[in-house]
Amino acid sequence: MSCELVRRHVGALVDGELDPTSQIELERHVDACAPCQELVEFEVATRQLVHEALAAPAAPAHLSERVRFALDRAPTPGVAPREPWVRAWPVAPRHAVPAAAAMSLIVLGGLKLGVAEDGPAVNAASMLEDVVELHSAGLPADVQVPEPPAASSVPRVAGPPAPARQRVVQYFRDKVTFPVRPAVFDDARLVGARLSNVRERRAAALYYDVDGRRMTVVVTDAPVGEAQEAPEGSAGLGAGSLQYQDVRGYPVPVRREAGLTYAFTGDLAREELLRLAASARVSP
Amino acid sequence: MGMFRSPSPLRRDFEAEALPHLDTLYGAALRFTRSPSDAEDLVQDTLLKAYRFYDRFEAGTNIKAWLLKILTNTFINRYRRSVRERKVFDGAIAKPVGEGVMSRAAMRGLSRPVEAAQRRILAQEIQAAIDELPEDYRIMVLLADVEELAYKEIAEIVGCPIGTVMSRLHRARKQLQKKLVRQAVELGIIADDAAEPHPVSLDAYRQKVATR
Repeated sequence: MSCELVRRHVGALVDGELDPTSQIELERHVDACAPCQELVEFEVATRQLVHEALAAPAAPAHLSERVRFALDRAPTPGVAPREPWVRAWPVAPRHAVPAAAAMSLIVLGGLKLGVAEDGPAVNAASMLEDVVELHSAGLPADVQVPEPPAASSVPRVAGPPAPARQRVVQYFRDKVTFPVRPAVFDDARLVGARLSNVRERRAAALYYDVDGRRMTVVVTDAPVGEAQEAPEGSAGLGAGSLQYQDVRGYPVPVRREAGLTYAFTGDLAREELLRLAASARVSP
Repeated sequence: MGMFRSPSPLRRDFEAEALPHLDTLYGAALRFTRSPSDAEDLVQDTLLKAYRFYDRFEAGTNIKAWLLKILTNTFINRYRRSVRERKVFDGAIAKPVGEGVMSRAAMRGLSRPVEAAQRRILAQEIQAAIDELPEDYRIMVLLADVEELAYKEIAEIVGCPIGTVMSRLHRARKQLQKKLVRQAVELGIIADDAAEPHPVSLDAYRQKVATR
């Protein structure tokens, strides 16, 4: 039995990565068992061969010069460049039209968008870039939400059935420090979810299907324009507001609800995505 | 313009801390991307990102791990490819990598010191075998066996549970070992029949004996 365990976990055993009890137990067994010793020696020997084989050549001499040159042109850390933001308020008009000369107004089926030429200095660009990369990479879901039984006669139910949504909630429970509540849409279906990173923080990527097109909603507890990126006191996103920015051709609306940031992006037209983002129900 | 500006203290600190790891970063980037020019781009992107967030880096903590994390994430986000690749691997390799099929003679053959010339050939074989691995697995093998990071660090970088790191490493290494043994037979490092698996059951053993 121990031989079997050693065989199955020899890699982790050599790495010293088993739980302490098993580690000690199996090491003790190996000490006394010749075949297992051979197995461990083999594991160590092949590991060395791999290590040697993959020992990489040194970086080419010009690389450090190239990096220094690029660093010369990089902004000083902690000083956020001013990004033009497009702000949108899916709320009543009294919030929608700050008296500013530089504002133009777009009306999108009930959703009013104010375009601020000189928005708050929130450098969310890098974060939103990660969101876009996440979407465009189309990585597989860690949890899949099975398609509901096709019943065309039954009227479409808003959002996935509760147990499916629950699976996603459950999945993230011990993986991120904030409660992940998948946004519910009238016309987008939750199909899966994946643990991911935005900047250096954990984030939940939720995958949706919008009539055959993909939409990704990234949930993170990092506020947009986090303190490190934006100077103290500069506005992040206020609760309940919707902003968006175009990142590499993708519109990325962002909402801040109950302490969490929801960033939406997808293979959808800007208007549709904004409408979806504004209509998403994200409260518990 | 910027070229002639005297560097800020922060910039000098960053260079002093980060640039000594250039070889490590380039090595990982080269193994990840398999292309020298992509590797250079990836290293540059990584260091620019690291510099941008350098004020967040906690002095005294492991900057090499931090840089590798940024590098891996940048690679995963930007260069990672399709879904199918991994599914095929998960499906196909899950079964054939059984337990304990490596013969003891084969193991002994490779555990003994291998001569330098043969080592070089084996190294090529290993590189090819690594390149064949799906990206998720390749990243893990590289982080574990080349960078020698702990499973926990790898899990954090890749964004998956530690159990997944463990099982993927296991599969990937078994696959590598199989190829190594096959190559070692071709090189004559180990005897032909040594590469044959252990008879796993008494029946199989008797059958084998009977056909001799």
